[in-house]
Formats: sequence, C-alpha cells, structure tokens
Amino acid sequence: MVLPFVMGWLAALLAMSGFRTGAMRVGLATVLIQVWWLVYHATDKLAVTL
Amino acid sequence: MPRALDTLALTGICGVLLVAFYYQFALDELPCPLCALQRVGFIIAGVGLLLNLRAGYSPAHYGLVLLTSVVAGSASLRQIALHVVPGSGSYGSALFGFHFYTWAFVGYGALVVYTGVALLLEGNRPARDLAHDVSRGRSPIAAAVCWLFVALTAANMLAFALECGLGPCPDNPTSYLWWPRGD
Repeated sequence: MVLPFVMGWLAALLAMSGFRTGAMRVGLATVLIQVWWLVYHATDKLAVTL
Repeated sequence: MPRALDTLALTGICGVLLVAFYYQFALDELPCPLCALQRVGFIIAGVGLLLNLRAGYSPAHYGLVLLTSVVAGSASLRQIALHVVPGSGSYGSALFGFHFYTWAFVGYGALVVYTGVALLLEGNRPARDLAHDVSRGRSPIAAAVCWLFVALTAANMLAFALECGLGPCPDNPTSYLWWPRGD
C-alpha cells in the first residue's frame, strides 16, 4: 500500500517549503491511515512468518 | 540547542531508513506490511522534526511525532507479539541480536523520551529565543539532513510502489510486483 508513503513524501515536501498547516494536515491524515492499517493488520489472519 | 537536537534526531531517522534500504536492496529482504507501517511511522516523525527546523518551533510538531510514535510503536509491538512464542519463527535477519521490529520499538520509545525532553527544554525558553531557531534550522548541515530526509521519503515511496503496486502488500512478500529482476 503506497498511499501513506505518497502522503508522507507530500508532507515532507510541504514541511520543507515551510507550509506548516498543509504539512500538519497531511501528516495527521497519514497517522489516521496508519491507525486504520494497524487495526486491519492487528485483527486479520496473518501468516505466522510475519 | 534544541534545533541542533532536532537535527540530530532527524539524522538518526535518516540512518534508520538507510539501514532499512541496505537490508532491502543489498541483502534482498523485502519488507512486510507491518514493516512498512513502522517505516511510515519514522517518516511522519521525521516530518514533525522537519517542521521544527523549516517552519519554526511549535509543540504541535512534537505532538505529531508523539502520535505517530505511539501508533507505529504499537505495530512493532504487534509484530514482536507474533514471534514471542518459542518456535513461532521470526521475520528478516537480526542486527546485534535483535530483529528490526524490536529495534523499531526501541526507536519509537527513544522518540517519545526525546520529545518529552525537548518539550521540557522548550517550555522554559522565552519566545524571542525560539524565533532565532528557524534560521538555525537553515544552517548548511541542517539543510543537508533535511534534503536527505526528503530524498529518503521519495525513495521509500518508489520502493513500496515497486513492491506492492497500488494495492495492499502481500503478507509474506517474496518478489517485487513492478520490478521483475530475473531471479
């Protein structure tokens, strides 16, 4: 799933350019995706080799 | 001083991402979905520190570091729990006796402690001192670390696009979806 990496890159570019509000919004949205992703992987049937 | 510490912490995050790349491409160890989640955590923590260096200090930036450290630290704890039972195996190789998900958990713990210390240091400083910090964050060394971090975030985006495409990553990846390597 490449979406959080795209958002992380976008947030880094915004932060680098000094766009504080934009970078914070994209960063927080990425954290929300992280939470969803974590819930998914903490509850689905994972191969034990993970 | 706090901006110098932020630069040092961001350098540490760049080091973590570089080591992960070395194992992924030089030793051909493909990251699993939980590994990817932990990498995103380091990237967003780096964005919080980058904001302090480039846009000026704010406690909200450290808040972003804390939130992502807790979430990604939980992911590493989940992966540790998967392998804590003897005989349940492990994922990837070990570095100094610990697997990378264990090191990631230690790293997020260190980030939480660092954030607490940094907030304590910043909380007692007058506002006029903090205004000078933006220019310090634009020193050549800090700028080089910032650009290295941005380059590593772009490289991670490309690496995971190659491995997983646009869909979810396989539970136990063995090859790149968009990168036929002929082996």
